Amino acid sequence: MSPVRRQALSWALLLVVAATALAVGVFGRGAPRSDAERVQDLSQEIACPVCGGESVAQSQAPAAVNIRSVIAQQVDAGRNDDQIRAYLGDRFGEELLLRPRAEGLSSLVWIVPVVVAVLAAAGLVVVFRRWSATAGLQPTDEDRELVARFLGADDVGEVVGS
Amino acid sequence: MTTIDTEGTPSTTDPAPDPDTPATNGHTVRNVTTVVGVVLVAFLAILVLGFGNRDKSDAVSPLDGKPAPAIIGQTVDGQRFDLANLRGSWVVVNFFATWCVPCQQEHPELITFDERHRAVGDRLLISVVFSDPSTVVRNFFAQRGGDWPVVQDDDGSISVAYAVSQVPESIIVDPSGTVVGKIKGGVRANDLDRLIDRLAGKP
Repeated sequence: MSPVRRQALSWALLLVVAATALAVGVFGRGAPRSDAERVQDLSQEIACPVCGGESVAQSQAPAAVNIRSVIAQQVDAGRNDDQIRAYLGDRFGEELLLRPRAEGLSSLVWIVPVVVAVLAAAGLVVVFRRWSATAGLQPTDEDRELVARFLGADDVGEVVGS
Repeated sequence: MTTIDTEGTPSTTDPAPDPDTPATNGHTVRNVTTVVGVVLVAFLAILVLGFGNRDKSDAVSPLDGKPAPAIIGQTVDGQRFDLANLRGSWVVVNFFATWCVPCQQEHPELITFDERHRAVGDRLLISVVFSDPSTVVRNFFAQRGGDWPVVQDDDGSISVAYAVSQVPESIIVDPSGTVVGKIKGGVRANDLDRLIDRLAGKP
């Protein structure tokens, strides 16, 4: 296998591994979550309104206990995660949601990193292109003469023409 | 490109125009600096505007102008209670706990307010228990006086529906059943009346 093909193959493998890891991370939760797991996950996403830096899952403050209890009631009542987040966000404010909603100004939290990543990748492509263009410089007559002088060759074209 | 010629003196040749000349680098640096500067200024603007719009006033509840969430449950005396039955009167919904010192301090003021309006029934007071067992609350009222509906909230749903995270907190509901005001912290009877007068458009 030529070095170029080997390199292409390793890049392809790297892509497959990265894509698989991403897909498993995003979708691969296996079995559907139980109600208790949903309550636990949601509790970890909601900040305790009176304890500064703790989620309602960690805090034993009465307000956190109440919010945990309401999350459990709403999960029992069949409401989905977004509805429960929206219910609490509307009451206590968006700052309570440790995972900001993907709408309005909060959506910047999700959009900006993606835009920056795309711009950075595009920048890298441009810079790499420019570098390879620089690497393909043609020797000048002066260069050819110099090489010829060192090698003592009659035919300069043979030396540089390879 | 620098080489050593046969005589041993350095000679410099510049075969082709280099795209990365100092002038181009200067441009790139300036462009990047401008972009980073613009992004920073944009973030600052968002921060300032975002925080500027946030109203931290105590008197504004997220429920302001919305129908008061239902309060249906048992009082600590075992009576059935439904806030909807109080339509037509101004209602002060007071969230409290016996273990909270400001709640203990405001209690005599609530008694004054209740006694002032009980006979007429124009302004009613109810309390919602915030994380406290019924027996303790009954003892609290037996010792300190006060005789108005005190609703249990064992599952916390009433407190969360009213966005109460700390006590004491009092929410004013108008005769149509709409939330129109909120007081964080302890209240005084006269302040409650003044606030309701203002909300009712009385001079």
